Amino acid sequence: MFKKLSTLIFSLLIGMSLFAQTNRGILVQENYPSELSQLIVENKIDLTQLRKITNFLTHADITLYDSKILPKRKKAFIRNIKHLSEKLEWRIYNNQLVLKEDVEILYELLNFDASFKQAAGSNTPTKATWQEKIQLYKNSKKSLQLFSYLKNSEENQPTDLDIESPYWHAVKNQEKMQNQFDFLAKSKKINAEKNMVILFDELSYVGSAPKIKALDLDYDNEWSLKWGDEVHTDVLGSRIFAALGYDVDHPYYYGKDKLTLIFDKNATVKNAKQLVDSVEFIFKVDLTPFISTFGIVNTLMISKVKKLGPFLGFEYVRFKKCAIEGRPDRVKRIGSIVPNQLQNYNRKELRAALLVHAFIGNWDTREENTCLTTVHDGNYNYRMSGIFSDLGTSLGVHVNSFPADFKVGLVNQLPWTVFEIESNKITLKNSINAILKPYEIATYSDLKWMAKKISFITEDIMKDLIEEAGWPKPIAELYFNKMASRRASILEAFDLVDTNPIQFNQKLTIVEDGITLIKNGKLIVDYKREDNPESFLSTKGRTRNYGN
Amino acid sequence: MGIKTYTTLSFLFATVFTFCQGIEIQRKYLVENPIEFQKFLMENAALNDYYTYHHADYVYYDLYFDTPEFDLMNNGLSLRMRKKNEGTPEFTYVFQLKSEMETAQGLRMEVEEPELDFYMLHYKMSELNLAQLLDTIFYKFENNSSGEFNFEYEFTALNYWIYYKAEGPITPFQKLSFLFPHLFNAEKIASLKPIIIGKSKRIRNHIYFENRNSSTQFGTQLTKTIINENTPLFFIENPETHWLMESSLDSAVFYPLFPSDKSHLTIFEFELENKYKEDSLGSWMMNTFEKLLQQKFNIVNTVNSKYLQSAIAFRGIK
Repeated sequence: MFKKLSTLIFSLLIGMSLFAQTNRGILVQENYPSELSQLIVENKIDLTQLRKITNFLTHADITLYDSKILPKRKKAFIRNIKHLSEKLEWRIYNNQLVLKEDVEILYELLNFDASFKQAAGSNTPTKATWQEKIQLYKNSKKSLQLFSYLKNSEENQPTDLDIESPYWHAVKNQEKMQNQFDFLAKSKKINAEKNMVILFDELSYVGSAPKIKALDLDYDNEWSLKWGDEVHTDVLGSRIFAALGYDVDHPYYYGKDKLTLIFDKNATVKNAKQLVDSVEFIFKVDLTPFISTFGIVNTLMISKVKKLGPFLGFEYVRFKKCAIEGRPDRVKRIGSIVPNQLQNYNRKELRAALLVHAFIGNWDTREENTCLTTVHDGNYNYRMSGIFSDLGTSLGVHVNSFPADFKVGLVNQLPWTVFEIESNKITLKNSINAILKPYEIATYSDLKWMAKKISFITEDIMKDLIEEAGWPKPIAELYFNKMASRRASILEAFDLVDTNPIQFNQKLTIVEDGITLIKNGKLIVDYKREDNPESFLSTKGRTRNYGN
Repeated sequence: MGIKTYTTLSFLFATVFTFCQGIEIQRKYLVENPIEFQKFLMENAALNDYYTYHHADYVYYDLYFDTPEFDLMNNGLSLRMRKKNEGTPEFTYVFQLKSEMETAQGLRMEVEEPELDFYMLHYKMSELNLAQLLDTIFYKFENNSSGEFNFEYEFTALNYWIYYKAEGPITPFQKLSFLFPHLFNAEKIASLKPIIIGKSKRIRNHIYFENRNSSTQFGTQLTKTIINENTPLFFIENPETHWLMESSLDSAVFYPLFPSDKSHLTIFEFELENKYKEDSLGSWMMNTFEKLLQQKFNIVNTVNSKYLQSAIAFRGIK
């Protein structure tokens, strides 16, 4: 009986979403999670159960969950929850039966609840245990064998049906595909300028890549400033995920002297030297090779970059290369998208993300690298959106078991193909460190659905996305050929006709100033090491926390 | 857990932080000669090198709540719904729970429900939101010349809303049940009723120093705080000034909504808030300015909130 009701509501919601103005998408699936069923008693919302969730999500004095410290609840998040809650409370107040839009809200609240609980303890810097490291390593090995599929094994399943949800949105055409990342950024009021000036805010203690927190000059928006081997890869990885319909974080690459970091006199870190010392202390990474210039902002600098005007006499530092990632005020991060809970693993769009991870060769697929957010679309309209973040551990990853370290962006480590194809069987050849439930149960048809989206990536789109990542030209050229080849291998695996074939050369050779840099599709020279301190060849990685 | 313990715990971090930096947040005074003092503030006058700049006039309408046993007052708390106009064309509405100040230089706990216009209720067979109901109440209050109020329908709707929301995600209710889990259970919260209504006018001033005077006063130039989103326009347009304090002069009249020998109470209250966030200089400047004001206008330190003063007066507590 209840299943019939849920199927009916599901069908109605799909119909509704075709006409609805909102771009949140729908959450309710054919099968309700049991947690959702428990909130509805005799077709009415259970007020007591509802308030257990809404009080937990909004009560600032509840600071612990499972003995772990909960993150501070952001005002906008509380406001969003209260808006949602009040719609349901009013329904109960008037003794009305539950409507389909109420079920959507209940499901949304359940996801926020689970996500916020998942985030407990996330702001406390912790070291990965040996057991965790071993598990990451085991997953890395296991994943190379796990994802095998028989071709056309589920031919009759409807693979083309696009259902928009908070986790995925259809990108309608190739022009939109190319601009999707910028479109998403604009909707979040992220404004990365050609010459960027940001203010040091505070040190960061989480993650393995060296980074700090910075403020935009509008003081509303924040940035995460990063250095190292992810400054190119994260930029391309995020843009590919966005082009294929996923919401993402927004990293931008900045080349030599294109970004100025200003130190406020009252800040904890007051100059470049203190920055180097702090980053060395926290991340065990020497920032010195990444620094281009530093000193005091002078009138000559201001004449070239007007935005430096208010900072005459302030300490600054500029870099040879770096990346900044937007932390816009309009987006509040909760916790993970809880892929293993609430039937989220049954979402085709989340299962199909396995193929996108494989396409970019992403290794770090842990749950923590997904994020549930509320996006403020203006006029107190909030939208739930699940994002894929930290996609920089990709595009050529070297993982070492002893010492336990890893390095990313090693172009030679990125295979030319994504699948191993043996007559009727295809096997994904991408190592991942966490096998989330959606990936574990992903089917051939789920992946084929995404493979079709990948087939829409044209040569122009691929070139444009790679250019944004800022690699030096020869490296970018090699990546372009490899990504085109990987795309072709995906289409071949699913027997898809390539309507936008991209030419590639697996025997690519590039000679620059008489020096052979790339030979037979392999980088053989550590290209301009002075300008690229992270190195495109050296496999010496970062040991701190092994990805945690 | 008593309010004292809570306040101590709740503000431990803030207090340690502020004491480390020598920052005091707020001081409050009763004003005996409001007319002369108001003139001083409105005319942007100065005391020694402390300049004032009158930049805004605010209007507040307040509806205070308590239980029939005055449990909030007895525990050093006040709870109000406020309609406010802070110099913008719109009115906004908040539901606030505050603690009394422990000392003249103390901090106050304050939590609020910042938006009341999406909370719906039934009133006279129709549906309206909480902000609209408050509009109705304050309209009747403002347009009542007799001093005898009849809010029967409005308070019925309001009381039912409180009853329904007692265990809901309403910040002041969450805080009450957190502070006093045994006293402020759902039943007790549901018994909260409007007991005092009033209106306040507030005169807002910046208190500032001119850069050219700072070296003669302090032997050194004051450090300029970096401009941010909280910096008032006046200090952006006048970069040679230093924002030291923010002041508020309130003229308020309150009326009891329960039988009382006193028909109303008028309160003139002045507040200073430190805005100079560097070492102990901010406190020193507050002390100096306070002394100058005491000498000239005979202002007197107080800790009692307007609610506490009114409730004491209306209940005839000596």
